[in-house]
Amino acid sequence: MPEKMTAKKEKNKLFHVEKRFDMPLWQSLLIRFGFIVVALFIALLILTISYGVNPFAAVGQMFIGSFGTPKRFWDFFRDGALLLGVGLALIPSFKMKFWNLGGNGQIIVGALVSAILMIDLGGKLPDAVVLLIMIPSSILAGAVWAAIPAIFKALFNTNESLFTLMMNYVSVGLVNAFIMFKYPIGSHIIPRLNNANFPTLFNDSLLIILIVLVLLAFMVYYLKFSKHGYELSVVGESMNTARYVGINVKKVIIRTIVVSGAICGFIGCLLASGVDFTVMPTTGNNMGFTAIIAVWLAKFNPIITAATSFFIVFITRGMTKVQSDNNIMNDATPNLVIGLIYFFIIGCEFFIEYKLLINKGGKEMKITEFIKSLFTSKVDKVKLPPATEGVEEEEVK
Amino acid sequence: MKKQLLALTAMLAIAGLASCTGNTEKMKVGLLTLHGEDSTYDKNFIDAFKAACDAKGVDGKVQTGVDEGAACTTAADNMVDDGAKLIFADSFGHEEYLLKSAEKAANVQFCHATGNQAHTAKQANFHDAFASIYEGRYLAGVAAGMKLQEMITADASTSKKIGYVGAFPYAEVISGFTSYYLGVKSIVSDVTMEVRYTNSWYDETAERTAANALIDGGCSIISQHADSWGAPTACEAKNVPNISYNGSTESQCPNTFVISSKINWQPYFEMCIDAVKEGKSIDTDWTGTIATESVQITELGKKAPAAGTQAKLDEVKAKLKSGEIKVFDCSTFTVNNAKADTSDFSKASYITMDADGHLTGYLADVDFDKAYTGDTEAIKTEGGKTYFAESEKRSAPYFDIIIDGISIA
Repeated sequence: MPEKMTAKKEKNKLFHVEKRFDMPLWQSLLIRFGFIVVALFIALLILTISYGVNPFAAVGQMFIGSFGTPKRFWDFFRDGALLLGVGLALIPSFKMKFWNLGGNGQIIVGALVSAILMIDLGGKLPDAVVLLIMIPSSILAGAVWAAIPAIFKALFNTNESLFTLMMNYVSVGLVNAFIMFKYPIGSHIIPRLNNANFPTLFNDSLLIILIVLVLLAFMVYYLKFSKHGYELSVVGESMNTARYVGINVKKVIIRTIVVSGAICGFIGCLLASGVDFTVMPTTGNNMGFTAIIAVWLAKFNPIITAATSFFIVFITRGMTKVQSDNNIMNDATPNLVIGLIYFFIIGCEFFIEYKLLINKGGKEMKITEFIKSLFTSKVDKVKLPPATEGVEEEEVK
Repeated sequence: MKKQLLALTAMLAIAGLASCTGNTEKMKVGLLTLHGEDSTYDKNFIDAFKAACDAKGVDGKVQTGVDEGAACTTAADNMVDDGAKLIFADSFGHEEYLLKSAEKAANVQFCHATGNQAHTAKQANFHDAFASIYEGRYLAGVAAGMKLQEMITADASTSKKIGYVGAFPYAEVISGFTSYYLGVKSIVSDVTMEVRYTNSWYDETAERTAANALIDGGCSIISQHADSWGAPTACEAKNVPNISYNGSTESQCPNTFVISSKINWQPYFEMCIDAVKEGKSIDTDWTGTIATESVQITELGKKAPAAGTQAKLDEVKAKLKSGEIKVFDCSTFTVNNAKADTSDFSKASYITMDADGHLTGYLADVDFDKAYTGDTEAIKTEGGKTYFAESEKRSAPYFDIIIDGISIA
């Protein structure tokens, strides 16, 4: 008896989910774009209801916040480039299915090493010499910070997500300890470091943007055309296959993560010496986590990661402007809106990966068909005498 | 229905355009705050800023969540680009980064609260401001002393130790807790105080933990100089009287709130707005006082304060105004421990004292440097009273001696 009932239930399920294999790119892009528009609409609705924000003005403010003045324009591209840089660092490890959640920590140790060298060598040695020591040191620091969990993963198969995550906290602790040691009194802020700053080209942003573009080209080559890139994707697909074809899995894991950490360390160096001119426990502003969203949305494709990174920076900077223009006095509201937009973008992946079928009277149909059927059925049921259209409409309601 | 929607859309669009082109004539003024309204410290600034902008009919914009780093320069630069003529920043760590913006925008005035570098930076459009909040802290201390005395009278075994949660170990915080302690000491002469630092301006967990540790360590009354609700709510939970800062915390702590001192920034904001409007210069260092309404104490709590506190406060306040009471009157405290201190950051070499341990001279770090070197004599004798001249040489506090009776955990 109960078996029969479950069987009956199965049959009458309202929704049925099916994996998609055939969605063309333009359609998936259209779905993403549609969801972004819907998310923005809901976000602005929340702002309008709770703060009386004019939604049309807010859209304008978002664009002004990112591109409104030359400074904002360059800052936008610099921040986007930095986020892209972190994304590029994460891609190889993610492709290998090594979930590197420690980007933040790797950035912070890179920045910390840079800051220490700026403090201790800056002014004593020529800036160019300090920079030449600083860049490889930061890269090394980031690489070591990533290699520790990678070695444990390769040798003892420890969980890399937790390990890399915890390394973030250790790095923040190191920064705090350094500041307490070096600046024990005052409000524990390192004064702006004016020696050995990263060189600039035309303005503060252009050189950083160009460097990240070079990094992007390198990463495209590394993943697509180099032997390393091939090996890491095989390890990501299946470790056993990799072993079978003679790939040294342990070596590939450690090597790939070292590349990942090295890039993060370098971004840390750029932040400390070219953007912030200091190191703080909040250095990197959680880019190690934000970049995960950028990379995930881009399906680990470096070029699409550029687009997603710039989009994320656009909404972040845009919301900052909306917040100040509308006198929203807390940081929670813009974060809520940004979170909502992320939620929608991530949520829409479901509709790209899967087909949702709706059961109507024992017949399964696609959403579009279902909506169509709603309208057609109306006409079917109600036979409208042509003269009393308005009245009939009332009845239907 | 469709037509109505279209009409609504059109109306909103027009409203949007109107709001873009509307108030072009109003002067634009900006405020950068470290945190948002959830922080009692920043809320105090935001409220005063809104009130001042409304009173003066200027267009005020606030940017919250501005980090004490390059983000502050960026935020200030953006405000300049948006046409602001006057920009305020509210956190100690903003100063250096605000100064960078000031160097780039000579026709915009930059005013920094709590900073100490304006008088040495010599940047004509950069100004520091503070208030003689030590007088407010002293008054709050008097209210705490009255409460402690009441507790001792009711139960002779009451601990004469009080506790203080401070943010960072430097002059602004030390000057604050010393003046508070001296206020308590003026009522209960043998009181001692333990201070715990959280090393953050806003860390609710750390502030709550520190307050609880002080309470568990036998402190009878708690006060704080940190910006979250951590310490006041910890006191409410354990029913320990609390002396607050930045404004009343009675709404969430009705049983334990005694009084709060705060700086009212509105007079300064209004003065600066007027100055910019009329093209006048703003003081490099400006110190608000009780007389300028900049230093305020809130109304007493309804339940916790001792009887007769209001009358006592009125009396002391009048004497502070007339100069009959000096908060840092050297005859009221001794510095034996500080003179005997041999640690790395000892102030002993800057201290001269008499045989009883009372200060007779002190070189304070007025011209800010990273090593906190003493450079300016801060002890003054006036009308027969020898006192530490706080906030007279520059607006930000420079009293940084740990006096006898206060211990750092």
